[in-house]
Amino acid sequence: MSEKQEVWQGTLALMTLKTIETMGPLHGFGIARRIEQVSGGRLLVNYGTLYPALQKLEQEGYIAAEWGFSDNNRKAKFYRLTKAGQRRIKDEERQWAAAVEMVGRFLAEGGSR
Amino acid sequence: MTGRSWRARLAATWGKRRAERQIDEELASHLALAADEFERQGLGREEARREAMLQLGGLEQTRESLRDGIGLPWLENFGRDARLAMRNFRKNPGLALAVTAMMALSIGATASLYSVVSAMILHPLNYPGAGRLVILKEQRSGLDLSRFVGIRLLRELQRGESTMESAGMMGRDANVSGDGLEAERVMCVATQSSLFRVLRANAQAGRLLTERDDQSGAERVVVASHAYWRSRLGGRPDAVGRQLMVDGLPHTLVGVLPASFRLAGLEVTRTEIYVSGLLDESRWKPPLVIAVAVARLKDGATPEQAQAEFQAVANAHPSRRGGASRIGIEYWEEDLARDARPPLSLLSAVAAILLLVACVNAANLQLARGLQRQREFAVRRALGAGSRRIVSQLLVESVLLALAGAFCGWVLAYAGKDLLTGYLSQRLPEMPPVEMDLAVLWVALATGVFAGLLFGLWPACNAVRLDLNEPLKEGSRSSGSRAVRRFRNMLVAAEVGLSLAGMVASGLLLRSLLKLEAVDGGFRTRNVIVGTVDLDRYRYATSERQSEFAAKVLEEVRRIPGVEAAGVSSHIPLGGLVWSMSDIELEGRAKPIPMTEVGVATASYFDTIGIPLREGRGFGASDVRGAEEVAVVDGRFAELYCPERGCIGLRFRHWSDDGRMVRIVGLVGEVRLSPSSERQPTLYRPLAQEGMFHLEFLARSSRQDLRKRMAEAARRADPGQPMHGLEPLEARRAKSLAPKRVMLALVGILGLLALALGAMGVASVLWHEVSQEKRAIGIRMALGADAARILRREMMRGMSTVVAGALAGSIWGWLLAGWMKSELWGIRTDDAGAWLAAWLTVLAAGAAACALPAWMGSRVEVARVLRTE
Repeated sequence: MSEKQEVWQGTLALMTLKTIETMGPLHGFGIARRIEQVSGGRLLVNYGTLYPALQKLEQEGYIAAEWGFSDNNRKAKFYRLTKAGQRRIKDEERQWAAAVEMVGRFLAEGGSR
Repeated sequence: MTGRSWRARLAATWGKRRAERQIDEELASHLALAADEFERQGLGREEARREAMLQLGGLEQTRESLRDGIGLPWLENFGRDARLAMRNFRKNPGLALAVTAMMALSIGATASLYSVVSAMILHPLNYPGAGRLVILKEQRSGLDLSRFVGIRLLRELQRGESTMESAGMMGRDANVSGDGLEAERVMCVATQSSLFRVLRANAQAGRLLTERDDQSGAERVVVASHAYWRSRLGGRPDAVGRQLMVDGLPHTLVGVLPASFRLAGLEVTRTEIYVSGLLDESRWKPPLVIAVAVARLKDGATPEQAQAEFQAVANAHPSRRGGASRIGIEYWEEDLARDARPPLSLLSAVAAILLLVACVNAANLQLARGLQRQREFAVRRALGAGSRRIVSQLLVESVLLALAGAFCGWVLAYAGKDLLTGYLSQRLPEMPPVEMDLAVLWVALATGVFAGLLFGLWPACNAVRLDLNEPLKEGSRSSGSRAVRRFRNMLVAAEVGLSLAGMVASGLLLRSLLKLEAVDGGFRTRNVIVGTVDLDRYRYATSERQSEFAAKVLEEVRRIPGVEAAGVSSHIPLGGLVWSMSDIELEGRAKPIPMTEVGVATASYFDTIGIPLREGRGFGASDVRGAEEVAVVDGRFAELYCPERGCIGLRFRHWSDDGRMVRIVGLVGEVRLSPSSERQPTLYRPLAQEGMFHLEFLARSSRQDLRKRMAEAARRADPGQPMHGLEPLEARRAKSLAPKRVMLALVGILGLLALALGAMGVASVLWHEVSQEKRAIGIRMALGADAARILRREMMRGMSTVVAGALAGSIWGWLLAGWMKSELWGIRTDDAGAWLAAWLTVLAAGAAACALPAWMGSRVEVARVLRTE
């Protein structure tokens, strides 16, 4: 089943932050490409929603941006994680795990019937 | 939203252009990077670009959504809340209007009244470096010259090796005439050239006084104020160099001062002229001539150093009788502000009362509004509104109301200020320009807005914590928890208390004024008209000539039909301040009597103004120059200095240095120079013997307006000596009390406003309670309570708050009364009449305020109320 899925609502922020955490400072295009790669090409990042998400994260202080140059010498805006961003990742990871566990339990119950 | 993103967005809102450019650049860079990728995958350049565009899913949409993200979404929320708030206001406009009006009124009234009054009382100096100016004060043994210095001492101070420059000035009226200028009384300031250096004034045209002008025998010169030059000399530049006759002596106008120059320290009008020769003693009659002396401190010098320096000079030149004088030094601005402080602080206290009452009232209304809406909040919460949203919506409402109140208050403050200034300047010729006192305005604004916000929010917070069930129950009363109700009653009680304090202040002022008006000055004012002539010192140099002139005028005045009596004195009650005092060496007393008022009068003066002759004789036609020198003394003099054997027959010596002895031949009644002044020992000398330049003509007549005819009489005697200041003595008496009256009016108005607002508060709270309790009242009535009983109960409830407030307010009133002591005359701060009146007024207002809601309660229709259940 190689049907491509769009990134789920609400998870884009977490993925973005996590991507920046693992990759270090990165520009928007790089983040999108990375998310697609990590998902094994199964996730399709909607570029039209990526940039507003980045903007929001920046305004809220989870990431900070600087202008720099890419590997192939293109001028680009690079995002890096802030302290608040690192905290946010931890929180979100915990919540995500809790949600997954809860949904899993729910499904397990349903399956046993 | 974190503070950080707030800042980021706010910054972005500011630099919106820049942020938009960055968005474009970022998207462009994205496209470039994506195109690079596609190119690497083997697409052609153009194709790669198109592919990248497609992948982005619409460049324009992305850009738009990014742009929308720049601003502040809470602004949008605010907009939504604001629209909701406006809908609420429209639905219930009364309350919103009341809150706004209350705040606007308090802010406007407080700021405008305070600004106008402070401008009237405070006269800030407008000279460059005014903060370094000091005023000199002399104190002699047994005599405090308050703001003045004797000119003999001043001369010594200036002659010494003083490191700082000082200048004396003395104001008086002078007869000024000239080519094409009718003879007229003009305020003439006798001064020295140093005055303009000390005050750092420059001439607008011509020159100011120079040291050469100070020397005796120099050409007589005069400097005109800008207003005099404009109004009398036509504002013409060629006026400099003109000849003016000042008191019969030719003077040359050498210069004009700029319009910005205003002399402080003397009671001068703005059309004044300046002449040199203050220290020329030959011009002045009594030995003690005093002047206002100011000096400029050197850089770095302290007033203490200056005092020590001046004191050393004073010690080196003791006066013949009294020893060395003590010199006091004070910053001029502080000295000028001191008189203004007690009335200003009283006024600010009362203004603060009004402001507080209005704020409390606004707060109370807000609380009431909140309480009424408890159900609305509960419904909204039950439907899932977050508590944050409810609070934020209420906050927005409160902010809007506060802003509206603040804005209207601001407008009202400026409008009120202009209105008051315009009104007053038509009546007071010397009304200064009024600047808004921004400090007071800001304090008023801040207090009003703060109170509005605080109490707008409180019910919201209450609502958030509220048990949802309670307000949702059908027909439940929403007058809030017991704590809130108690708090509202406390607020109302505080309002009542504050208004009581205001009423006490007004009552005390009123009683004090009534006392002053009832003072028996020892003379009659009814039907007495007074007019002043200041004789030309040159043409009327001798007492013979002076008394000849007076006799001529009196003869003319007596000829006017209806005139019953006419007389002259140098020294009349309610007259201007005439310093004419002398040490008296009385026979049989070892030490001279210091500084006794010496008046000069004709025999007919005492009869005209109704001062009775108690013993001996009055002045007669034989009391002329060459005959025995005589005097009469007043009761106070006799009481103080010859209590046992009486004064009549005693002889004394006064300021005349030739050693003439004067015999006391009569004793007359004593007068108070002004209603509030102490009785001063006074002696009178006949005009024919003593002579005087300053003559006050009095005429008694039942006919109404004598003014024109009296002026005419003086003109017939000598057209060069105009009579001025003609007015009924009653008017002078009224004028002398005018400041007290203005104070009373202001305090009274503020106090009554506060009381009215307080009464509104009482009424609104009771109204609210009654309307919430209709059901309970209905049940009680159904069980047999009659309307009168309900009425009584509700009245009692309202009045208990009023009485509690008044009791608390008595303490504030007591504090305020102690504070305003210096504004009172003849009564104590615990004056029963004033306190009783204040209490009665407040109780009456409270009862009136309770009456309507209580009546409404008693009119509850049982059937209707119970049916709605």
